[in-house]
Amino acid sequence: MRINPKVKIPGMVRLLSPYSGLWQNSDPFTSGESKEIQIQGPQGSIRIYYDDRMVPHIFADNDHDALFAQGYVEANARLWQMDFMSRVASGKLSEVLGINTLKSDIMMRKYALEYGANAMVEKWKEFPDIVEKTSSYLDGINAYIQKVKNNKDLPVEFKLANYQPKDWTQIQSALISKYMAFTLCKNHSDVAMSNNKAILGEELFYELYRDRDPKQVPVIPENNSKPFKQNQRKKPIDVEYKNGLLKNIQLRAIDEGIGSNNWAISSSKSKTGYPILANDPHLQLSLPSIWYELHIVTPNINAHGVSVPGIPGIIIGFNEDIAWGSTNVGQDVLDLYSIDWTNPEKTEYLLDGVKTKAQIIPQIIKVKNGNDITYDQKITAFGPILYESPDSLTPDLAAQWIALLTPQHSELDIFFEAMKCDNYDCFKKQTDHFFAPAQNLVFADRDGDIGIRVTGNLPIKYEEEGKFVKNGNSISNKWSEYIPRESNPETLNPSRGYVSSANQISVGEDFPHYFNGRFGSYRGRRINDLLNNALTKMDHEDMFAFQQDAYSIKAEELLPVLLSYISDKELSDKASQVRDSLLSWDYNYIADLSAPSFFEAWVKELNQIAWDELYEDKDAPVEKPKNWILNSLAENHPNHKIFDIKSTKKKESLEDLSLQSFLSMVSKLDFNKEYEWRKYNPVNINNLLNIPGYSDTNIKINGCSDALNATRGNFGPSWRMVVELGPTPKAWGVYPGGQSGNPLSKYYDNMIDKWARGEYYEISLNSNEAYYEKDHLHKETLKPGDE
Amino acid sequence: MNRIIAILLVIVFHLGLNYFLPWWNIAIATALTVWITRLKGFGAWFIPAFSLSFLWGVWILILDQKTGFLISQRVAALFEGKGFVAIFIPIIGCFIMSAISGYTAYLLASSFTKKDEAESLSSDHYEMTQPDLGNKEIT
Repeated sequence: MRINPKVKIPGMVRLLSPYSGLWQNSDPFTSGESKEIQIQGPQGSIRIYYDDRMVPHIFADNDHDALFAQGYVEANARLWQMDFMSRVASGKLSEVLGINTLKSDIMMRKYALEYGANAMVEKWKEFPDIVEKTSSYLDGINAYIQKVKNNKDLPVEFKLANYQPKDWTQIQSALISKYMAFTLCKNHSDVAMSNNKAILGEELFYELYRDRDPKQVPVIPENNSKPFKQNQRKKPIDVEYKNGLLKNIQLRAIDEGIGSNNWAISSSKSKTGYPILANDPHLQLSLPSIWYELHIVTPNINAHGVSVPGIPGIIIGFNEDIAWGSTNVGQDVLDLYSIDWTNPEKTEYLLDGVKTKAQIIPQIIKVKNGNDITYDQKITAFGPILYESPDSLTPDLAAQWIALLTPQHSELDIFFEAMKCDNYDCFKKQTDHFFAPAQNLVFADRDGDIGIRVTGNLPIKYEEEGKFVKNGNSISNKWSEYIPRESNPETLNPSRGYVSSANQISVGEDFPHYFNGRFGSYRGRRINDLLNNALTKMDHEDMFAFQQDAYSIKAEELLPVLLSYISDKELSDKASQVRDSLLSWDYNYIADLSAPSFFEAWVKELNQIAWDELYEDKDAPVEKPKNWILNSLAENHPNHKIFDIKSTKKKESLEDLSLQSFLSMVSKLDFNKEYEWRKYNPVNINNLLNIPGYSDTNIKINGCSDALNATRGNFGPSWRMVVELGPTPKAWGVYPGGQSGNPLSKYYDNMIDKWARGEYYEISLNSNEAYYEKDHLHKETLKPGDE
Repeated sequence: MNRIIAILLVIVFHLGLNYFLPWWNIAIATALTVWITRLKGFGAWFIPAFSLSFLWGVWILILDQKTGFLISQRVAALFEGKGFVAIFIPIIGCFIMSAISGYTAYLLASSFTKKDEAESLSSDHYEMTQPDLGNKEIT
């Protein structure tokens, strides 16, 4: 979405008046300044020291005050971002931003995240102790809201859009959690897969769409969890939708390849003899950044890391004893069902032969300076209607999605309690209630333990369940049970001396349940290669280098094969120049090189002609086979029938396609243009409102979606962290943004350059308050009382 | 002297009203000043408008200077690099609003004054134009 920041003249004067306009939104702190704030909420005095990056070091006397302070500092830095995210999730942006965001609101409301958030909050109510404990986090946010509401300190974007923040509630925190699920576990390739199978036929389909890359080692090659084989789910009869191609269904596609990395090496592989943990989650990059860095010190906590503003606790971080991080599991937890309506109003549908009423939830989308949009949201026994067909040629599709289901426990305090742990068992216990999206949580501690565990709910599925669109005519077609938590895959202190994950499949073939999803291929292999083959013991500098690694195994495997077909061909000067550039390339995606651009452009052309069978019917959404399938065919079956172009009489092989796609690629090149990788694959960090002046575009950074330094478009490493767990832990981190959510602040984007250069900040776990008293950018003391 | 008092008054009113009202309180501050000081003609719209827009200009400069002139660059980025918009729009807006308010207040004040004068004038005239009946008795 693009928001137009232009406002009319009277609005401009309001925005730019020196008393209450944007001029008052300069950085709130003057160097060395101390401020004492009397405020309702804290039980005692809370001292917050901001360092030279504006990272708050919070000193509180108890959990209540620590949570209050976390809420307060996050709101102080990111209040508008929090409001924005909760509005995106609930489809309520147009209420404050007008018609430009209506499309986004309509799309988001179909996913019914607010419905899911309500279910989540209802569940939380069953845990009053946790709700009571974490209420101080909400109180901290609301204390800040009261401080800035209707006055000159209101954050910039509220002034720009001319609205006031509402009190923060549990629903909004739940919505942010749901938005994370929307980002990480929304996989609706069911439509494309149904079409792929219908187009290709079963034999070819199963050859081209295999679940497992044989060269890949799963996240957990040696599963130490409690075996569980009961309750195998049987495939219901006639469960699969087979009424021809599903056409014109527009659901947001997910690209292959962008994901996250985490790993931990044991003492035996570490130069210092201390375990080292590294994590770099790759998410959509934005300004303000998704993460907020903070350090919390209480009598029983000393933890530093990053949080998602709006959710209590540190999600990725470390304390004096342990370090933890996460990557997304990527299991398919969104299944689509075709709905057989029995009346034209689409309020009743057939379920197990009985007319069943859909739950109708009236939706009113308020539009600023426009008319309200009203419609009925329909919820079936499977979930909300995600796709409503304009005709009878394609069915309406309902979604069963884990993000909308009621969790089994309260997740509110998970990451706050995990910060107190000093060993694996404690960490496992505290994070065990995490519901969705499932994460590969990596762990290391000072005693030398390293481990990784799939944390979150994993549905029990029959073989291939959720791969294709299912018939929504029977309740037995939906999954309803989860793998017991004690059987979630995990490994502790494996013999190979490290644990790692890069969004590849989490479990091996011996795992007793079907496990499908969108899994990465090359990054997992690359990190395992680097960790296995290190000639000497490794230190934190090696971890930095691995996180910056721009090497692509995809290119290493495919390019020599493709080049072998054109190496002896007579080519034009232009084509020879490109070929020479590719011949001398070492498969590192360096920002200034042209060879990566040529290779990617070549593969794009090749994909278009290799999978021509799939693209015959333009109205039917399809998905090409994964990159590793192309590599595998190129390596082992260059004469495979899929390489034959259907529209020609000749029987083509990969050799023909390689040359054809290469020449096609070269013919499209404009040699007056520059083809540096950074220009072909620009990495941008956009402001959430897409205001160009507040975005950072075309950033010079190495990497690609298949490299460990996974960068593409608006995606990339959203936080890089390395922790060495010695007697005094040492840690380094950086993220592409800044601590402040205020675009007028110098702390809004001050870390981007360092991040792009692959440099890190040393992160402090110093719990000596006198240290910060002596050296801080600004100090705020929150004291109980009326302001 | 009256003009200096007007300059001080309009600034004091504006700064005081800022605590209760948004930016458009400049209109009220100006009107009150013009009403109280009975500024007339050109002075009625120019003096408060110039004083307040000058105040805004200096104020913006101080706020900008505090940030090492970063904030003006960042605000300018909002308007796709047109920094003058960030600086001049508020100053011009302030000037125009104050000027309109000042002149309106002057016109209103004048009309009230004229009405008073007219009333007093008409009563004098009445008295003056009454026929001098002298001591004659009308029979």
